[in-house]
Amino acid sequence: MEKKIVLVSLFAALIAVLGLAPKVMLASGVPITAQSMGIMLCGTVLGAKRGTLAVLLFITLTALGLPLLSGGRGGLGIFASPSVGFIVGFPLAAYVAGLITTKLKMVKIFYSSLLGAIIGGIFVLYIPGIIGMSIILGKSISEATVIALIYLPGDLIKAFLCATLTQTLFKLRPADVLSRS
Amino acid sequence: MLALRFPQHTWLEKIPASMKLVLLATATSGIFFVETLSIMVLLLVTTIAFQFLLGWQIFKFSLGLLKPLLPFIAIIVIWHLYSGDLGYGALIISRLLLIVTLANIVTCSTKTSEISEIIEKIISPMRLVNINTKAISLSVLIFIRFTPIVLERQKILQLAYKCRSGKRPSWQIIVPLILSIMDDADHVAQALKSRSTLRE
Repeated sequence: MEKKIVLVSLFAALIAVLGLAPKVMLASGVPITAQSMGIMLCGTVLGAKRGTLAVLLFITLTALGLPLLSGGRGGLGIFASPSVGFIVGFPLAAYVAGLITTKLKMVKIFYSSLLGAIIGGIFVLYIPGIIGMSIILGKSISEATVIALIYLPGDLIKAFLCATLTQTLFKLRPADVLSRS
Repeated sequence: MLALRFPQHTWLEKIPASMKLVLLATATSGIFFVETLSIMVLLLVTTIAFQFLLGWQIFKFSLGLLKPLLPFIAIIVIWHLYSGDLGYGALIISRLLLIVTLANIVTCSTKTSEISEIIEKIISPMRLVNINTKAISLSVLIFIRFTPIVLERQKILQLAYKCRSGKRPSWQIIVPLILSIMDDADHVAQALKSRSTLRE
């Protein structure tokens, strides 16, 4: 019980730290941070329920004013920014990523977490993300999709990294990878 | 301290947080009904002038908070230059700036503790359906306390990687970072257990 609560809180801190890490610039000039990989990792390592709780903890405290969203954003303003859909989709993304990692027990954890990260952390996340951008930026859904697709290559790389990291952690600390224990 | 606050004290801090939140919600919903550019710009200029009246330091600080919106503003400008509908683009940009500025004013003039009190009140009925609200308060505390620690640890790992390889680290330090988090979790959980913090 205690261990799980602490792990959830510390993974929320991990999402924050990954978002504050220096940005990597893609060839297209769009900056990517590791924050969305933090969301994927919460799901693939902590599992659906606890991963979602960690993400909810992170978002709630960011909305309350901690400037922890990538780029040092925070406060209630995040819900009025074009990223609102992605922020709302984060818990959902972690849930689906965790669910897939846990349910696909018959395949190696690398493949199940890769699938989880792609379906949860990209497909499921982009749906509210695109809707949010289309509302705030006043664009149609298809126009917003074009803008969102700029992030796709970076997110695919992050999904691969997430699967590699989850696999390594599972080898080193199987008991702490709650999605499989 | 890890919080978004104005660099100076203002009279806004004396207004109850709940009232500010209700006002903000009302204003934000109302703004979506404004479809005239001149009114939107007028509202934005008034809000910015209001911040200016609060003090030069606060004015500068608030403008800095809008920086992360720049890439989005650039996208909208390019988009509308291309589509030719610049008026609509200007409306979207001023609406975005207005809502984010209003929300920032509320956030920066309200203590985190005040807002967390409101949250505690909101979640308190969850006790009735057997959810341990103590665990929620505890995880909030652990999160706030440990974020700077995890950040510090990440910096140390980056430095160590740089010293040994001469290269800039990126994803290589994430595994050791998470392992150290798992170690921390062991220690903190042990401490919580021995003090039976979570027993109701």
